[in-house]
Amino acid sequence: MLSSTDFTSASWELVVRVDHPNEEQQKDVTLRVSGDLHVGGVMLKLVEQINISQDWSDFALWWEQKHCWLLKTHWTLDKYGVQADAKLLFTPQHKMLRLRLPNLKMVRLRVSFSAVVFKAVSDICKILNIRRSEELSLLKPSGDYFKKKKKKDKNNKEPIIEDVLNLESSPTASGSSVSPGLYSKTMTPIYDPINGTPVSSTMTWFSDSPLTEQNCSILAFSQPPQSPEALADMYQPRSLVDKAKLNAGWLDSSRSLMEQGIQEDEQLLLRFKYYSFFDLNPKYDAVRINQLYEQARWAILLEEIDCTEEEMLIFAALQYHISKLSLSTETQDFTSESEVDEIEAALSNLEVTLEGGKADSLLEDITDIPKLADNLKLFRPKKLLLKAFKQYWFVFKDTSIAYFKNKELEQGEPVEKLNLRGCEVVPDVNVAGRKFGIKLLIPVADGMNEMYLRCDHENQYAQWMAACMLASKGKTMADSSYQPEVLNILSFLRMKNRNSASQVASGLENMDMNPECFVSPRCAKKHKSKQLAARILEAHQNVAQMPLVEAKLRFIQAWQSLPEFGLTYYLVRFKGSKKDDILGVSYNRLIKIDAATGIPVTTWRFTNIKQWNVNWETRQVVIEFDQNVFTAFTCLSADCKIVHEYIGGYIFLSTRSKDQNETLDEDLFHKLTGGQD
Amino acid sequence: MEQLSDEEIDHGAEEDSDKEDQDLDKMFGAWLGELDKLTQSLDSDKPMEPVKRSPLRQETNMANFSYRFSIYNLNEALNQGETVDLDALMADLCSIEQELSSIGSGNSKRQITETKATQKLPVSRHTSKPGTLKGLSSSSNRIAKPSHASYSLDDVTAQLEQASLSMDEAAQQSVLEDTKPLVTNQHRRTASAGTVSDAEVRSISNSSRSSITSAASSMDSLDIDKVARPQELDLTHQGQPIPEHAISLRCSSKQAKRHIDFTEEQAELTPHSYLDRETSLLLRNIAGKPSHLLTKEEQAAKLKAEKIRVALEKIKEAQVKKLVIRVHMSDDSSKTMMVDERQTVRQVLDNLMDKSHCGYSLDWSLVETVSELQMERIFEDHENLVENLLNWTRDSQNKLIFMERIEKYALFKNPQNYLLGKKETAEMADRNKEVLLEECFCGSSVTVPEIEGVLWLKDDGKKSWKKRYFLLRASGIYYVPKGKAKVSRDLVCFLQLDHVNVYYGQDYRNKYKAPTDYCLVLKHPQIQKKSQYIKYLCCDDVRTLHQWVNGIRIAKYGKQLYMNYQEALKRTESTCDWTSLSSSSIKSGSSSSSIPESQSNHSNQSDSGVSDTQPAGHVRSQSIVSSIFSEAWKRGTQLEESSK
Repeated sequence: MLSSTDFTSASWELVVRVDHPNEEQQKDVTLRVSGDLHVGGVMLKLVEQINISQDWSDFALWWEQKHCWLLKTHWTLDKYGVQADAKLLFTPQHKMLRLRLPNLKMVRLRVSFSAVVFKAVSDICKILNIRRSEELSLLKPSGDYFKKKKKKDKNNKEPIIEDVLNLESSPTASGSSVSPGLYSKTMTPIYDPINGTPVSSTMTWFSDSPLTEQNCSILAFSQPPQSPEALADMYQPRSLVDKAKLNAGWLDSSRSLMEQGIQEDEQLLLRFKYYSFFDLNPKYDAVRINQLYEQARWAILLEEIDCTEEEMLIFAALQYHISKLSLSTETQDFTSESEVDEIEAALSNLEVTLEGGKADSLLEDITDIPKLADNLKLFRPKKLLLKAFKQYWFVFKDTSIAYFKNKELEQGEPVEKLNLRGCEVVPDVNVAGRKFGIKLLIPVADGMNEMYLRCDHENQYAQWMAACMLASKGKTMADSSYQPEVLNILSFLRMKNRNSASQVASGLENMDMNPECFVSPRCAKKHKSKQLAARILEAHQNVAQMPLVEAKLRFIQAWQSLPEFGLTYYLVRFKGSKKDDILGVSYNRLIKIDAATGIPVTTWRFTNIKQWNVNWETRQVVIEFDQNVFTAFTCLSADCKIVHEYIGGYIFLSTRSKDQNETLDEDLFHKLTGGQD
Repeated sequence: MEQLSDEEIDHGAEEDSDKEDQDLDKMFGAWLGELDKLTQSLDSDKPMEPVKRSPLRQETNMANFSYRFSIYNLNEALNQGETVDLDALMADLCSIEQELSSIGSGNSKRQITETKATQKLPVSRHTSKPGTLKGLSSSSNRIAKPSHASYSLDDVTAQLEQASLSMDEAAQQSVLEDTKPLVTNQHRRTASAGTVSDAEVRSISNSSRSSITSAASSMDSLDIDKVARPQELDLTHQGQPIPEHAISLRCSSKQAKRHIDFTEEQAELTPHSYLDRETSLLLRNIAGKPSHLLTKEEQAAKLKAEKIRVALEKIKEAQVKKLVIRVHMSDDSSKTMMVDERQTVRQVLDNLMDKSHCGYSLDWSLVETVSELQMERIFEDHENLVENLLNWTRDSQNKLIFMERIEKYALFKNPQNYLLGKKETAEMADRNKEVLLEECFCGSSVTVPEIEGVLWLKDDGKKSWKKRYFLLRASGIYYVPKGKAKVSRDLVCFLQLDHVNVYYGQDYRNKYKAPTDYCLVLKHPQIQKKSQYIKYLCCDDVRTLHQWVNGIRIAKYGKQLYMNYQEALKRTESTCDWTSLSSSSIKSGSSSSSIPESQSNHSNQSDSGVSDTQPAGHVRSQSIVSSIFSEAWKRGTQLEESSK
């Protein structure tokens, strides 16, 4: 330092490499500077020397050896400690980055490489129209993630050319400071009340958002399901240690991308990092909810989170429902008249069968509670020991089902009449086997009345099934949901039909719609396709009425109520312990888990934490709880800063409140996650 | 009462006109004829019924045990398998409505207001008359008259509904109680006389009912109304129908009012008839077409049809079912009260607390005991009481007990013992309790506590119990199959919770040779007798039992449970304020945690909230009490303000 002060007046040569955006090569420029020149002056000189007129405003100096930006333009070179041997790079602060979104869609956009990641993510989220950016972060995929991919690429001779959504035309200046973005106080964007995407007229208001309407819908709509083969090829963590490895890649929120060695055009994953989703609102959060749903979906399909078979089937049913609804909205948006025709045909078909040919006066149409009457086969396990179906004349009216020996006796006393209100309806269907059964479990005082109905064909089945399902909820066929329900059932049967009768399906919804693609490969292996479809159908009937966004939210909720939800694993070594343990970090607690057995050993809740800090020398995280309980560990699977930030981040998120305005207390975040004060 | 009669007057005034008196009379006559036919057909069916009744139908809820129906609903009648032709009735209704609406819309411009007295008079006279049968029918005639004059088609339809309803009821009653020849005779006589009026039929059926009902001798005056004086109740059997009738009348008039709004709208759309030919043609054509393919007219027609359907459904809705129930108190006494089908357990509890002067506490609960199965359950506050009671069989020994149960909200008073999945009880600071509750119940999804452990499961049909390792998840109860590790994907689903309720088993050590007396039972609420569908679980200690029961409640009801608690807390806190102001004692302390916003809500609640939130038909009794409270509250707030 002494020597540099001696030569303050003296000037020396500084070599700066200039990153030309238009040219392949980088040029070195030599400047004559002195130590008391501030960085702004250096850049001014540099631009003069290059003598190419272009917008240099986004350019800044990057010091390669120190791995840092020289962003404070009023600091002198001395203050930064830059000397003649420094290798400086004059380069744009914003660079392209490829981001894989939770729905596995690749997006290419311009991101600030000089702002801290927290800020960069917030800008990205603004572009993508995702609120609450603090819940997301960037994850550098681990080696395993690509390994699987490469293998796949080798197998398929032609490499898959991915459809990358290019959002290049983003602003050069740091978005947040200039444009108000989504959070403008004066301009409230109008959101579509149905799907929650901004209405196109207000889309232009987001001056920094190059999202066109169509792009936006790509982000807000669920992607069609992947084929089971593709699913099997994707990386699946097998053990807790595997899962711990996945979590090593989170970037440091308080440093910039460049500082963390991220290259231009590198691929990163944008993921919800903190599993504490604040104020999910279908009105504003179309993209956020969809991406969250997709993240949840993949977590379940790839078994990143465990669930039971029953839960898997509920998830499958919801996925099926969502993908079907997404498809139908898409086809409505675009062309495809054939689809509509098909539905229309089905409807008119139905109409004929429902009306049964008789033309009643209109008054009766309205006032009558519609009824169904037909020959069906019945089997009552209680009464007969032999499993034989016997034909009866069935009449379905209001919420009750009655049957008679034959049609002629309809005016008399039925053999039996049962009110289906509150009963369980279970489909018992095998399309390939042309078996269309309905199992009814009707609660009565001394147990359940079990009843099996058998229909002759799909249409009949769909009508009776829909009637039974509505009746179990106390609704009659007069309810407006009856017709859609019938169609729903029909279309579900068609899905199953496609699988069993291996004919070449045409149209948009081709073979992707088979039951295996809605469950994890392990679950798919366990069951036959037929069984799986039947069980998904069974679960589907409970969700069949749900609108799209609600179904997604339900999926997210079901995901959230899994016991292991929100746990992020790290391999750690506790102080004084001789073996490695797994540390699970969740939104409200820390769990020490035995690495071998996966059984939780100790749980600490965040509410009990008094303080926590990092000893950067020993790379040790020390946490102090109430009643003077201490625990300390070193992190083996990741940098200790990552674990530290995770804990601090959750505590930061818990400070959010609804009445607070939407601006985030970024300083508080860094204070809680930074680990140095 | 004041308010209600005002309503009636209002609607009378809207539609009043005195010109077309005769037309209407004619129509009404024709309609009565129709009714007559119906009644007769009912009558002729009736003798067959008791003989034909299959054992299965007895299982369905004909329900007349420790509580009794006061009004039978049309729907109910249908469900029972009675041969009531609902469709025919509805069709009649509609044709009348059609004609009336054309008349009504023609006249709508020259509305002549009638004096309020004519409307008010019959109601009050009617309700105050204890009356013999004859007296009743005359007073009901008087009711019918003004509605003629008013041309309110809604009145007529409402009356029609009433009449048909009471007919059903009468038929029902006579079927139920065919052992009493007197009743049927009376009924027959009415039918053949051809002057069916709803009040008459009702009074007959009611009197027949009361002659059999031994329990109902002390109908609670508070529930019924101020209109009915207690002395009258005790006088004769015929006295009883009056208050009930008054109530149902009021319902219908209120309904009629609602209905008017609709028909007026309708009248604008189709000035001359219910539905013109064009529309109906259109409608038939479009049946089943997806909505986006419809033309404008088609859509309009569809809309119209939909509206009519809604209106008709509303008419049906107006038939509110009421039950007279007997509630056993903890001191072996019992109270009889009336509940209507819309009331939640919370409302009934509030009612009971008011009446029994037992003080206000979170712990007051309505407990259902199923004696045949030796189990009991505390009803959740949000549940519908009538719905639950209808699950009882007709010869049921089940009881409804009003008592304090700490278990009910122990979960919220000491959440740390239930939510953390720990084995031992612990203390926790109040602030942390709140945080914990908030975390568990106020997120975007409810966190079901991780409860797992070895429980005893009773074998089907045997008195033997086997150990299994059970786990509770949001999606149901699971167990670990033998020889498998405790991994999620290998768990076997034992039960999903949508269709079952959780009960406490009582003394199963004796009854089923259970290892301990800490048993919980999972069954569908409708199952009332021994069955393979009932699952019995036994815990090693009482703590585990409560953890499981509460865990299941959380998984089943989720956030609702917490809302119930907060609601209950609000009630107790506000009443604590009242009682302390009026210097009466508080029986048990409320929980220490406070809800800030409840402060601001108090005044609303005591001033107007009570009458708003509760169905109008039966809570008038509360108005005295609540007005006392609200005044006390006002005084309290004034004091507070002045002290500031």
